[in-house]
Amino acid sequence: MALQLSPELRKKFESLKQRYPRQRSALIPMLLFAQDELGCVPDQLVDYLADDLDLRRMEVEEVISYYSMLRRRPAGRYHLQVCTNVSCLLRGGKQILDQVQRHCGVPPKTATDDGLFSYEEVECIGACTGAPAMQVNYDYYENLTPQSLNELLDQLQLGNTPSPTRQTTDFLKQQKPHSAEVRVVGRRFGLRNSAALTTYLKHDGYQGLEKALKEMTPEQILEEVKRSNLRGRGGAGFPAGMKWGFVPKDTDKPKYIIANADESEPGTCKDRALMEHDPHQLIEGLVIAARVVNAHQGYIYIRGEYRYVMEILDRAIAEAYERNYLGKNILGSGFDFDLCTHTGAGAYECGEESALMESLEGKRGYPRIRPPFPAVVGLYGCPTVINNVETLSSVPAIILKGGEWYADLGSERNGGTRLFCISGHVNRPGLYELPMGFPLRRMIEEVAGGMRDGKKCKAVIPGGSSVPVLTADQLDTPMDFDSVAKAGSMLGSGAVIVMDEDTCMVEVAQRIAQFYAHESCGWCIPCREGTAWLRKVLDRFHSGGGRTQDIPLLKELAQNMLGKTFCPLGDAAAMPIISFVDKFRHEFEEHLRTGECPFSRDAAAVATPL
Amino acid sequence: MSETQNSVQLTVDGRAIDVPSGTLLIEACKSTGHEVPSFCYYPGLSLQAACRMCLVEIEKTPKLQTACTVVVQPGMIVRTETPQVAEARKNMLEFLLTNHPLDCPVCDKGGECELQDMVFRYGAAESRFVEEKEHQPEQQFSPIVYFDYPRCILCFRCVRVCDEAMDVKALGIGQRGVRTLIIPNRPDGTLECEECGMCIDICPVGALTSHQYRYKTRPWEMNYVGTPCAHCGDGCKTTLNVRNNQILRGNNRDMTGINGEFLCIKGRYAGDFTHHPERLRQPLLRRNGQLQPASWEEALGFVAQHLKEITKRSGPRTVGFLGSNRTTNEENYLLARFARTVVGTNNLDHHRTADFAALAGALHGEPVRYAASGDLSRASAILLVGNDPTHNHPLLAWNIRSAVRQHGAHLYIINSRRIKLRRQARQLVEIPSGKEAAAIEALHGAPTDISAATQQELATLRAALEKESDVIVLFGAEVFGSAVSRLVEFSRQLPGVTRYIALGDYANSRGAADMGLLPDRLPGYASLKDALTRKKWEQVWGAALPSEPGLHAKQMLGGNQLRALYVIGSNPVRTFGLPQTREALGELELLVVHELFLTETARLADVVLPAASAYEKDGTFTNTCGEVQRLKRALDPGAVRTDFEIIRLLSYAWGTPLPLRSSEAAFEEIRQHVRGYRVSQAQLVAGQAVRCAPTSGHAAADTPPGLVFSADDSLFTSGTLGRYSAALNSVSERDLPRSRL
Amino acid sequence: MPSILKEAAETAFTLAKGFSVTLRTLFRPTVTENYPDEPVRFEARYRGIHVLHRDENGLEKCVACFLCAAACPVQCIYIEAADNTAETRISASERYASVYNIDYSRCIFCGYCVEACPTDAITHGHGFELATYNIADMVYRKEDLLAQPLKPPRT
Repeated sequence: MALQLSPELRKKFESLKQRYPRQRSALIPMLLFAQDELGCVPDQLVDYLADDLDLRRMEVEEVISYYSMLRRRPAGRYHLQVCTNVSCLLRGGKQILDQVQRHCGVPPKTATDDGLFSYEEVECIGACTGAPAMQVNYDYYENLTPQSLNELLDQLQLGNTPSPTRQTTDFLKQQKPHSAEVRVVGRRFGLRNSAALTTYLKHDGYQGLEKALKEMTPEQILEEVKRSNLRGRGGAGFPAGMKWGFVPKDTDKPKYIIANADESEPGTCKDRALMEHDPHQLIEGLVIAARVVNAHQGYIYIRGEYRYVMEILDRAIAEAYERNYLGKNILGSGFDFDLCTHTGAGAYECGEESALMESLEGKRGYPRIRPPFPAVVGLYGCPTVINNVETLSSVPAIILKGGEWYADLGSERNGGTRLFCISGHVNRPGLYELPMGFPLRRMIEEVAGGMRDGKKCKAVIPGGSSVPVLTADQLDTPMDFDSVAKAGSMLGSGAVIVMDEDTCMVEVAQRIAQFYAHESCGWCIPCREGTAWLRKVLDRFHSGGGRTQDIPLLKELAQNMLGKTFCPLGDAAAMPIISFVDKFRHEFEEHLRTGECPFSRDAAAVATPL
Repeated sequence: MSETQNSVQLTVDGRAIDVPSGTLLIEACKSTGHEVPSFCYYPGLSLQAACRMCLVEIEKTPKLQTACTVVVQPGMIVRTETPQVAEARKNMLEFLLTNHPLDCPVCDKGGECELQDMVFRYGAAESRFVEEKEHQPEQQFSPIVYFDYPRCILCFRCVRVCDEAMDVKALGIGQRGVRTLIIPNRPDGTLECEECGMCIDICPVGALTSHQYRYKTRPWEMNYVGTPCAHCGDGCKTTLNVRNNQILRGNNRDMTGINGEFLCIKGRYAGDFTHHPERLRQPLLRRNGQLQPASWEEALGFVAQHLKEITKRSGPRTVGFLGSNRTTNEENYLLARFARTVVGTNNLDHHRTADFAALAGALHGEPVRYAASGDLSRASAILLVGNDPTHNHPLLAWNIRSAVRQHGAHLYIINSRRIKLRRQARQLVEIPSGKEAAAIEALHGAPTDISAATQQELATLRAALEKESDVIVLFGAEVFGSAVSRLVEFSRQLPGVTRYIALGDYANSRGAADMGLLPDRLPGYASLKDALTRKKWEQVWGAALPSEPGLHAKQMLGGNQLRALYVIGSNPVRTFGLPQTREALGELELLVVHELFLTETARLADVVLPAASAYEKDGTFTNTCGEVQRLKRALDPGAVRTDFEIIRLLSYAWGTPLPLRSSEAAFEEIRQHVRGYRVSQAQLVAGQAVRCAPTSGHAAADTPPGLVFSADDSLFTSGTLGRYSAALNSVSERDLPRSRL
Repeated sequence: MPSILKEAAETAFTLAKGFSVTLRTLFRPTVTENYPDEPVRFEARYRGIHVLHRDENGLEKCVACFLCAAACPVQCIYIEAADNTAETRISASERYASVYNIDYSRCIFCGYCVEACPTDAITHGHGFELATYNIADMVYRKEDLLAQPLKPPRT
């Protein structure tokens, strides 16, 4: 059967190929857009793309099977992707999955007989403060309850598509800032039409860019950013100014800027809000950063699940081009800069900067050997600055108001404010922009409205599932990179996940292990085998098959992985497990003593195997 | 020792070592006797740092570092034997063994498995893993390659060797995480590739195994004999694995040959022709119109009697000899001597697969102009005219690709086909078939009849060549006769020292020409017409030599001038495309054939004498580049005899016994008297390749067309021998057009 | 007179003393096994002619791993392996021994092969009657060594 591609799709293919100096980069976006139209990736498409991009068929096959969102067999018309990762788990995600499974009555990733539905258990989709959540195709439905889910499914059955409920981001539109908040990157949240250029311009939009282009030299801009003590908001917390400074000045190679919008760290949903509500701020930050290193091409690598956000970004980029904030001779400064979005297709590892670049080049998302670092050898082998969305979005304000001002907002060596995604068992989960160093206790008790249902807090994950867990007696930790590190954890992505006294820590540990086993790229032995082993032990342990030796075994396995893996994903998998075993050993032992989970709820949902 | 600009001093395990700057730490350790284990690191392939086995301690770095990605720095202090490092190695092995099955008793790799070796050395034999292992059933990727997913340790050596080194990329990586697996390139789960077997030999475990060796035996039960391959003219050393006088497989575990670690399907698996059921084991004599088994005495007696009688009656000019591309130098030399001194005829030729004589003539006085196969991998520029090395000369193709990949060599191709090497070429000029000589004229700037556009391309190519520092020129059988000297004339003007390789098809095509299986040449391309040369050889051989050049192959076949035709190791009926009738060969009274199988020519013979193959005898082969190597006998030939013996015994039966009693004696004579062959015996005996460099000082005569032509074997055909190789016949790629690769 | 009696008694006593062991032994139960009129009794660990065992499903245990041949100090074991196919399944694993010979003119009955076997396929039996006039008969093939097929369960 010949391949039928619509003219629009073919046009899209052509325009995608134009975006990159190497055609192969268009492969993953082409696959995903083709899948949207065809329902899956059939064999003929593989041949077509291999031919169109002058690749071997094998090279296309390799890419497809790496990315979770790409499928070889068609799904139902409504593909229900239910998140059960930690934030959603804590608020009934497993029950939602169970309900969905019962409704569909077929195994995961299989279409129902009428072709209407299919479902799968997915990893964090970035709706953590609106948990429990799921996606129907690309639409978000958050704050689900059994009833609201039923209504949704009924509507879908009738062929209606209810409006998405994006609690995570609508929260910012509807709620006034908490009194403790200091809105810098989030200062335009809540404005009507905040994403539009006209709104942006009315609220000192692109003034930072103007100042940077017309009144400052690239060196001065860099100095300002260094002065601001702005540290990477993606998770590693590396000083942004220092990173930009590594880009060599004397080289003929073209330079690139990449915004890492792959936000997949469980518990994290801030970049989504930033791009949805204030896309121009990100664009402005990108252009300023490009100016510093003299890059003329930028890409925003955005995770595949954030399709609606990418569309908002595309519109904003078009607006910016129209008004010459992008393109040739920006604002008459003589500086050229082109920018476009690039979609991922479902891989947490692609949030790692070197794996991201591999993915952007159209390959499997394996990390690269470092050194050399991206600033010297990056995209297409050229010097590349790659920063998180929030980091780049902070830059316009820094230029406008000064690095010192920004630094003073935070604590020593941890400048400015950041968006915290507070999720879990609190009364008001949501996104809050607070100064660096803000105490964790106040975050939970004041800003997020305190513990839900009056329960006691048992544990808090301060920065996303990759960091060690903190116990309830560590709540007085100031939330900045250095202080949290001193407390034995990491600030990471700023995802604060709060767990109450009824939470089973073994279950949380199991779900975290499941996440890393699913997302491990498979390149290096300790992570590939270690994450799978950890998951299998915890699966068995949590369902009652644990043995005494499993507890020290878990810790030992995780320690054997630590520091030996090719990229930090291995550490991210190991550290939380070690902390859970260390700090909640008694809960593990309780599982052994009783032979079952002492916190077990009724719905034992289907846990999708690896 | 002081540090020069090029060397770096560092300390490993308390010992100071000195290595060239730019060396990887893992190589520095290995070269100085410090063992650092690795799976994924493999010299010549891209770095991965994926297996984490090579983790070592480096002072002042907090975490263990992979030695394969660290470049040595002056003053570095490295420790490879601390408890922390030992623990790390053990941990990595334990992780690996979680999904690796306990297959050792049933796995073919047992006894030569790197994982086994590592576990013995570094521990983790007892696993704590009690969960369910990832499993998938074994798959057969091709008639040669089996893949067992659970055993795969995902070192990706196979993927890299197939992609980077072989430029085929038939193996890829699928899925993610612990479910990652190696996938073949056809959608139906099979491989379409060159079936070289590099992936099988490079696999450290039993994930990739060969069908040929499957379940046959264990490594410790076999004998290993390293000998030059019997097939193409590259002369790779294959280590034949022999059990019960049968070749089970070949591999290059030896790696000391000129081929390093390269070997193709022929060197690995096409040794099975030696035990094909149709192998001739007894002499055959035609009685009452039928070929029937006879004894050696009968057969040889018959041949001697009738050959002598015809020579006497009709004159030596009616007796012709067609030699072989796959007999040893000694056998060729003996044949030349027998034909010329015993029978007294110069009617001596063979299927010439390259015009070596023309090259020898063009290079007169400049023996250093021959390039060895190893020179190709270090070349800075290569000009290839005609031929298709991927198929005809896999080792040379490998060396060319290595040069391009690792040293940035520039490859220029002039060809009438879009050969696979075009992927490495800086410039490919496509010319019409048969217009190679014209293209060479165009390079000179002389008028030719090829299109103006092509001439322009050739001018561009010439300009590029003139900017190179030195060029190696390879040419196939399309370039023969005076075109060879024109090519050499052109290339001589290029900068640097231009070197040459004439590409001849078979294992001893070069040796056939070098030893004078030519109607107008004595051994070493000495000219028959030159009286002094003739006198010298008359002295060496102690007999008079006929001075008139003899008939060439085409004249001998069907020219009706011969009454007796003696064919050794050749199938002229098929090679020269003759009808399969006795009449097509002229009015022959006697047709004698030495062969391994009953070929089309043998079927027409009066006497068929069963000969030994290259794997069953001693002697030397010269590869197409001029590298001489000693054969080492791997099998006991049993009742068949070597060509050397047959000719010698024939000379006895004739009544003029040749005084050379062994191939060693023959080779000694060759060394003494054949120009260019005074090579080091010691090196040869030690198993090395030595370069010979015959030049003749005689311009290439205008070789008539139709005499020099390539058999253009593919990777899966190899003349007569290939037809009887089960391995070569089994692969599906045999029937695919070559452009598919 | 008494000296004769005394002498006679002394002699008798000396004789009795001398023969005590003989007489005692005379009345002990015999240990001799009258082979070949009686069957021979071996300890369980006696190392006799080898047996190739089957598993509980009647399939041969030997997977032709060659470890016994490798362990054998006198190299008296010769093996050839072959593939189990879908139609013919001889062993429980992927491969089985198509040829399995032990040359008993070489075997020293050391038991190393038994120790080496990973599947407990080969053990020593209690057979010992090897003598033959023709040395070629001393090469035992797989049929000679294989344990009996399992009897079908009585229903």
